[in-house]
Amino acid sequence: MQPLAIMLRRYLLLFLLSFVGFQLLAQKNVTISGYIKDIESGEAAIGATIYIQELETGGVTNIYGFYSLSVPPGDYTLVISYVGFETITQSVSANEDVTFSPEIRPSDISLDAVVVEGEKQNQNVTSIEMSVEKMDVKTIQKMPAFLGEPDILRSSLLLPGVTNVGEGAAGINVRGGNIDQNLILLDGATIYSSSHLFGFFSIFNSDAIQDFKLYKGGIPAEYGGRLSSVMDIHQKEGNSKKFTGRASVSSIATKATIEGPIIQDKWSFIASGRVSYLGYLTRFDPDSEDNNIYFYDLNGKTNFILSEKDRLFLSGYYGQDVLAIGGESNFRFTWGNGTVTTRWNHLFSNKLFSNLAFMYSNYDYSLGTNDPSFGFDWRARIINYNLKYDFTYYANSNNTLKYGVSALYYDFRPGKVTSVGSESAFNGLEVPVEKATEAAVYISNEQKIGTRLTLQYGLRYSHFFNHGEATINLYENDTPRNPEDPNSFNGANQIIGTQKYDQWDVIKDYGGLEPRIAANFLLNEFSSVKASYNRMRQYIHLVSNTTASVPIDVWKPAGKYVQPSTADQFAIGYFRNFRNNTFEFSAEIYYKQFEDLLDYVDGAELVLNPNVEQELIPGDGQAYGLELMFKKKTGRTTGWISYTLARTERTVKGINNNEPYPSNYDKPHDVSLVVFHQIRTKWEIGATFVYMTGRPVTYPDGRYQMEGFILANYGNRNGARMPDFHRLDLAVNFTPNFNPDAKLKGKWNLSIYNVYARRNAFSISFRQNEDNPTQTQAYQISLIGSIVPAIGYAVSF
Amino acid sequence: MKILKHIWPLLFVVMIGCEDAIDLDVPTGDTRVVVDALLLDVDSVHIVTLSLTSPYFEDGETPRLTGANVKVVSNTGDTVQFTESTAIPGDYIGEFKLVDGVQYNLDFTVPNGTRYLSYAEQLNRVSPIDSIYQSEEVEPAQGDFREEGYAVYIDTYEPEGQGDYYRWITFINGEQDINPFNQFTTDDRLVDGNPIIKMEHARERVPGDFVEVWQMSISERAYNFWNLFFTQLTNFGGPFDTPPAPVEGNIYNPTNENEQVLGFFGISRVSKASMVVVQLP
Repeated sequence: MQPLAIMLRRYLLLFLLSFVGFQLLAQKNVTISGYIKDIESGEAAIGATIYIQELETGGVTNIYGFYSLSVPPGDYTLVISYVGFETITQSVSANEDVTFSPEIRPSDISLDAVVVEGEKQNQNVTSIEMSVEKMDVKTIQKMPAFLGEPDILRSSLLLPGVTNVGEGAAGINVRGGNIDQNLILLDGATIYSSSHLFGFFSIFNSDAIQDFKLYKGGIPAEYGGRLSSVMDIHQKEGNSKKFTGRASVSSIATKATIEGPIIQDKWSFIASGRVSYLGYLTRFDPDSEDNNIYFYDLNGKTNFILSEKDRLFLSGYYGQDVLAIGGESNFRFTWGNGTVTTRWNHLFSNKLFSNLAFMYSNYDYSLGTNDPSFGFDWRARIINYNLKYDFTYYANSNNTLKYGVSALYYDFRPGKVTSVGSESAFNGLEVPVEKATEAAVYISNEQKIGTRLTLQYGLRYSHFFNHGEATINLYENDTPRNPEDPNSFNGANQIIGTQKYDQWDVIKDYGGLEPRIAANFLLNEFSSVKASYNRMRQYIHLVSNTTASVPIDVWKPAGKYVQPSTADQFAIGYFRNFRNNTFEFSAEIYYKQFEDLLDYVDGAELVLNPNVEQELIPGDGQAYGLELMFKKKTGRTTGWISYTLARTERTVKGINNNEPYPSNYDKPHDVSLVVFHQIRTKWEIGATFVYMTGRPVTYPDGRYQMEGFILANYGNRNGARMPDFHRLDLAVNFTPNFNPDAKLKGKWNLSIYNVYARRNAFSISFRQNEDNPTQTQAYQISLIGSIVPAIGYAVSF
Repeated sequence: MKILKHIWPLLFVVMIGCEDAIDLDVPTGDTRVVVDALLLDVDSVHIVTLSLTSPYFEDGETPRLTGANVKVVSNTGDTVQFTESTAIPGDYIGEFKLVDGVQYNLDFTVPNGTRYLSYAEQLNRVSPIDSIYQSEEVEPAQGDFREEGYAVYIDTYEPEGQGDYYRWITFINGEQDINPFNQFTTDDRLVDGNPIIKMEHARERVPGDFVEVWQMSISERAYNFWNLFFTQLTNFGGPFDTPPAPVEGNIYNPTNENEQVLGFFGISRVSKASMVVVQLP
């Protein structure tokens, strides 16, 4: 057992060496650097383009709105462009290092039907990024939404390569990845359960969110810990110019937001709350008046500009779901997340940007009843502390270096039951607590070679320690299940004892390199070919074998008996813009290989099981596909159409006779169409249409009888398919008073979900007919089997 | 997770879900041998039922497996020959008393000459049902979840020491209750050594109903079997279903381990209690 401290010290040393090294790089050029902000709100413009006309080169702002360009001394014309904002052109004299922090104004397309966009709106072609999707909350709020509640995760399902197991299921599946393979970051803090109401809504209140960026591939070296994607969600920073607010009512929730400056242009805040009232719907049924279900969210952020070089951020989130079922048993169930992020942006020089961040994240649930005979209280949680130090070094006009370190500390408390009441039949039980630390160091460089080629090459090294204080089971043959026949009744091995580990004693550690490589070759100003390879490692797994993940699912770290998983992904893409960047087209193909994913023995007991490792079987998987995207970004009519052709397979020893089988969310064909149209200044309509192959289903290949029960004997796992899924949704947005100087601005939103009331199959199941038990029958369930209109109103000042 | 399976209908109603019976073509796999046998300590006549699988949508009883040579063999060297019932083909009847501490195996050969064996089963301890009683008042209907009526409860206790597994069967007016959501199996991890008070075994009962509860101590293997069996039966297509899977029992073909043999040869001690539901003022 190697003490953790020695390993950590080694990383720190490595990191310091690299840091000093970059400072020694020679510099001849001067630097133009600064922040780009929205003139109305003071919010950072993330991903805005700065283009130097004379040099035909430029850069992009980072997630804090900062940019830095290295140029030979001289006078330059800078063009700043950003989607949804007016393009500005300005002269900058740079004979020495200068700071240039322009403020940009949102473009108002109603004033002019055809907005002349900046010439450099071809970032999708020129940037190194591929397999990346971005969506701002303004787009999400215009989309038709289920019950009129705009939702980030649901909207992301309209992007190519993103699916889920069905309407209302928790989480997303990105390029064949399980839902636990997405690193979901809210202001940098990891979210462990992103769902409200078992998955019908996500925990992200659209009024508090600025935008999100989803990396499906070509994942940069600064991110790690999940196999399939990074969803980086940014909360709004708060308006640093003036007080504004927004309140809205949808068919399911009420939201209120206030933001404004504490010190003009220096210190801003935003606070936002949302509460649902779905519970009232359940009360339409007079017999269930004691039942209730609702959720709420609180978001807050404050942003303080200490000096030209220093900025502080503090942000937080807290949300809960509450489910109560009345009657004598008084069953209650609550679950939710809480996060805190503190960040310090510091400019060591106008070439070296740093971000020091500390994040806290917690997910917990509790359920129980005061029933006199069976009273219990059951709690579980995962707590996570994360310290990160990231640097961007704008070395010269051709090289941008990023490097940093990260350490995560986990405290897993998978379940503790205590009995409630003196008469309760239950004893206490605690599933052993686990602790772990995940450390990572990375470096990557983005290099321009000539005018056509850009390379990004990076390396991440991560190391995971499952450590004490803990007590673990010891098994005969040193393994919890027989690896040769893991899914048989005889597969479980006996526990022969336990072993205790003291605080920080390493039980098991894993580590490895994660290369991240990307290349962009510009064919011409309007088209490029890109390629990427990335290896990802994931050290914690969500243990879940239900169709959709449930709030009681817990995370399990890699350890003595559970391996970390790895994924390798190759992708190649062609990017082309038409009509002066009005239309964007992309085609990407990817291939992804997974190793050591978790699967489960048949009939696995995964919750409250102190020996849960006995229920797990490792498996491999592969996913591959083609994603096409055609997008119109500007004009009165905007939107996109995307098509995905993809397969996802699993191969697990002991399941499906060791043959590969399609994963639960394998949907070979997936088409999404999203259209917005501004009719007149006051009216805008939105429509989304989706069409996809039905998800796989396991059919029985016979039936048998025991004691009057008739049971299906199931054949090939996921060997058949449900009917195709398709749905049309519409939205109408009406802004009665469009005067931009109005004090109060109201907006009506009408959403119609499932316009032609299709009964899309969520599942097909097989069972005895209730009225005639000797008959067997197939049943199809549609979760949202009718048209769902909703109306909402929002007012802002 | 049973609790969630009960929550799910609530959500389903809220979410304007709907369920349709549909017609489908499903494949038909190889015909398999099915064993249905539960030998109890209180009985001296035991029945082993052998049958076969049938295509999933073929209505009516599945075919019986007749003409087999059925024996129960003990590890003390005794063999009990079972004889096929003339009244009900496929039922094989044997007479003997189960003895504590003795392990029993099922051993049968079907007419085509294939021989099948079971893993060993034996009697385990079970506590008596201390009392059986009904709810003090008529319980109101609760929407789709339950109709009006009396509930029937038992009091019992779980003996000290982990490693006990239970299954309960309820008979209403002599008929086994086969509603999948009314089937109870458990291990003693959470209840070890505790009194178990007011455990509900029937609901929606009217005066005059005769309710009998069997409390059985089963083997770990039987517990795993019934647990998966009932989990599959309660998979109603909701979001919290577990993957459909073949249910592995304790019967195998010693010459072809890959042959899937269904069902279970079980041995159990049983405590029974019964009552007639009465009208309460």
